[in-house]
Amino acid sequence: MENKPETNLDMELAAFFDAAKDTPPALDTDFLEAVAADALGQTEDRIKTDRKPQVSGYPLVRLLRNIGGWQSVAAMTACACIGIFAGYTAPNSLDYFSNTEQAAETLNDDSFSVASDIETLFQEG
Amino acid sequence: MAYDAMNDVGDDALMVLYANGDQDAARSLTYRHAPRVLALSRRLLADRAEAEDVAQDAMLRLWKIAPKWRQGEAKVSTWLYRVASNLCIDRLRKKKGTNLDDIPEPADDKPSVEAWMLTKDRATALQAAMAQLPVRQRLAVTLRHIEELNNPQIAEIMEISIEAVESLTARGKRTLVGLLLGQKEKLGLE
Repeated sequence: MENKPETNLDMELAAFFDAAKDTPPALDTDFLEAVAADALGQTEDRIKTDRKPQVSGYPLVRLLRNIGGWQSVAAMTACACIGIFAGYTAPNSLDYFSNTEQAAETLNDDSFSVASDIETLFQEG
Repeated sequence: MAYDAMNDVGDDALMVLYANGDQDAARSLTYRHAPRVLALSRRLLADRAEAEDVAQDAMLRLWKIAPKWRQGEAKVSTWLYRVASNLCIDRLRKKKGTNLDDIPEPADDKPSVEAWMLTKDRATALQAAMAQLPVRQRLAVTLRHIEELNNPQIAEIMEISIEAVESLTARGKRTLVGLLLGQKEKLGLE
C-alpha cells in the first residue's frame, strides 16, 4: 500500500471526499448574524476611537507631546544655552566665532580702493 | 441594500467599503466566507461549538484588519483560511488528541434516503479517520480534497513550500486509505 501511486490513493478516497463535500456543516443563521454583529461592533469601536482626543495623560506630558516630544525640548534647551552664553560673554571674545572685524578690514583695504579706481577711469572718459 | 446585491463586488472592494463603515459589505463578506471558514474549522476540530468560536474569531480579526487591508497583496479567502488554520492548530495542540467519540455527525439537514445515509456514513468514517492524522496532514488533505484548493494556494495558507504540501497530502492520504480499508465493504464501496 505504501508504494501506491497518488492517483490510486485519490481513486480509493474519492467516494469519501465526495461524501464529505456533500455533507457540509449545517449553516447556522445565528452564527452568521453573530459574525455580522461583530463587524458592526468593530465599526462602532473604530468610530469611538477616532472621536477620542489623541492626547491623554498628565498636562506636562501632553504639553511635551504637543510641542514635539523630547527631541524638540532638547533642541530648544540647546538653543537657550547658546543664547545665554552669547548674552553673558564679552563681545570681543565672540570675534573668534565670527571674524567680522578682520573681514571688514579686508573690505576697507582692497574692495573700496578698486571701486575708487574704476570711478577715476569713468571720470577720465 | 441586501448582502446578495453585492455578489458581483470583489472581496478587496468589499473590504474598503466595510472599512468605510458599510455594513452591507460586512454582511456580504460574512455570507461569502464565514461558512467556508466554519466548514474548515469543523473538519479540523471535529467540534461544532469550538469550530464556531474559531470561525467567529477569524472573522473578527478580518474586521479588525479591514482599515489596514492592502488590496492585491493577499486574497481574503486565503488570509481567512490561514488565520482559521492557525487557530485550529493552536487549539488542537492544547487539547493533544481528539476523542473519536466526540466527533459529531455531519449536518443532517437534507432528505433522509438510503443513499444519503450511505453518504453520511462515509463522511463520518472519513471524519473519524482524519481525526487520527497529524494536524498538518489533516489540514493539507482537507484544503486539497474537500475545500478543493490548489497546491500553491495551500502552500500560501500553510506558509510552506509546494513540495511540502504534496508530501503532506500524499502521506495523509496513504494513512487514510489504510484506516478506511476495512470499512469499504460496509460503506458500499466494494
